[in-house]
Amino acid sequence: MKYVIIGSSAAGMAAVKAIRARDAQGTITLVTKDATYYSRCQLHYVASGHKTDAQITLAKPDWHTQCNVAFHGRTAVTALDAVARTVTLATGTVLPYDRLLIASGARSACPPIAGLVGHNSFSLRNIEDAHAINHAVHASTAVVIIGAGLVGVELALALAAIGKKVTLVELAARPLPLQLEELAGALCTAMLRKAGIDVVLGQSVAAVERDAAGQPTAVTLQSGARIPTQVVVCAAGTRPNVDFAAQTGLKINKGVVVNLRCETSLPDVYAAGDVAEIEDTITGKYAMSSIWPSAVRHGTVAGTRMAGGEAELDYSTSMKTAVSISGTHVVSIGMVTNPEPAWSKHVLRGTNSRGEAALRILYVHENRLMAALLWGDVSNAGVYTKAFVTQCDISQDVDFLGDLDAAKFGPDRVPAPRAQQLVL
Amino acid sequence: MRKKAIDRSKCRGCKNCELACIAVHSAGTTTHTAYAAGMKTTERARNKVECDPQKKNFPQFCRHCDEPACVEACTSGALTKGADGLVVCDHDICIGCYMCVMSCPYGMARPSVQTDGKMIKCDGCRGRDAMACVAACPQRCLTAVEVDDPKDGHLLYADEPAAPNACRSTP
Repeated sequence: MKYVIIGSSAAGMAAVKAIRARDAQGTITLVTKDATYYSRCQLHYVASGHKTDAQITLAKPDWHTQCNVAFHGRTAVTALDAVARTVTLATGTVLPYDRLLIASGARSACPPIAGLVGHNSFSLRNIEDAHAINHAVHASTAVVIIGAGLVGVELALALAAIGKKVTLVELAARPLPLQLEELAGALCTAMLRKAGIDVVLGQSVAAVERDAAGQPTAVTLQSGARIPTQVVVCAAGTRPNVDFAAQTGLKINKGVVVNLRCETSLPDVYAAGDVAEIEDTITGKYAMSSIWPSAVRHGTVAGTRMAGGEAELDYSTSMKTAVSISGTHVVSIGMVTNPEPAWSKHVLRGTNSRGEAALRILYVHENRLMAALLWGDVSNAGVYTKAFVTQCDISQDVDFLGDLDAAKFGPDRVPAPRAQQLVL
Repeated sequence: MRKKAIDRSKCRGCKNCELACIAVHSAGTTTHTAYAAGMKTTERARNKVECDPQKKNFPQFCRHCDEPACVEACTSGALTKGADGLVVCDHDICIGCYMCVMSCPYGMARPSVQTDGKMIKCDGCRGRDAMACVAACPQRCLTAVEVDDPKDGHLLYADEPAAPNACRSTP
């Protein structure tokens, strides 16, 4: 059996492990733009110099050799031929496959802002980006970060911690607009400002001004405001890496459409991680589930099935993540940011084990947990996640919503996973 | 391999298991040293006695699942499942992203009470002669059993059949 895996991050590595757990003999070829195996969630620490490459490594550089995997590092895939069952690499090599996994991830989006592309203007997605930012901020005092999503906020905090003057510009009215509602958004803004970050909300960037040498001098906003800076980082969303598959008949919406078995519309072609788009088992809408845990789960399911095993995602949701803001931990589950009017909102205030303020915002509808935002105390967050993804009846627990316990979810109270067949 | 057998009908909710867990994982490994100034515990218990819907005590422990959601969620590579079947956290690697805390359906991947913000979880008392919680249980609700198969998690509940995949099933 010839396996080809595109991408060596969370999903790709998980798939290799899953295949090798079942098939020691098959030929696995790993094609990746990366040169090493590293934790993408820690790139902001490398950008700020808090951590070295070695400290965020996930496996030895020769991990593929240990797994008996042929490795094509720093190599892009240029074409997929689903009829001939081959992928073509930028090097010209043509690899035949019996089973293909597309785990090519995503890249940073580049919004059409005048002057954005050029010297000392970065995004943060790969370790090369982190190195470039780290190099640039050594010689600079001011940094403007466009976009206060997870990447923007974590990078802003890391750069503020090394004494840089950081301005964080966000189009929405609050930071982490996909994770926080108004109340927590205000708390987050206050924390970012306390960390020394200049937070500019409800503003979009009009242009990046550059001097004659092409170096950034300032960022101008639509409001006309001008923020002097030497470094610009754009953290305004991502786009899945699907270019090589565009002409193949592979069903692609935003990402490669897969079912809960990570199967695409093409036979023996699977997709996993940030490149995959799956029907959200709670909302019924197709969405990306771009967090590390999802990518590992996808990769495990895809790899298991590619090697002839049985596996399926028990749920998929694009809406859950955990983030730390200056040591305050936050878990956001469900459509916290855009609740349905019918949902009842419960705001519970308390303290965590260190005596710090904690907040739990829970949305409940028809005895089901529709969304939860845990701020400051995230212990038992997994139980809230479980209540959300299984959409089980929590009527007996309404009094305990502030402290859901796993024991309250007996086997009889968890509905069977919804049968789902991808119609293509 | 050593597993923990639980007969929850015997649990009186005394929480000695929680206290023993706090003590054994604190610096001095005694209940006296487990408390810092202000009588705050220096460690959080890695287990918890909960109530089930029938209001009966339910001692909740890490199952050391065969497909551990915490390990799948770990962004730093700190959480691993060893050959002995135990899922443990390497605190030198853990960055406290708490994706595991968000993902464990039993709430047994827990935030540390320390300011380092790392995760803590049951280590099965690997390297210790006895499991602290088991040794401290006065009701014999918790007992240690030796089994050959490290599969099917780390826990044996007396009143339910062993699930083929402990993590994806429910208590």
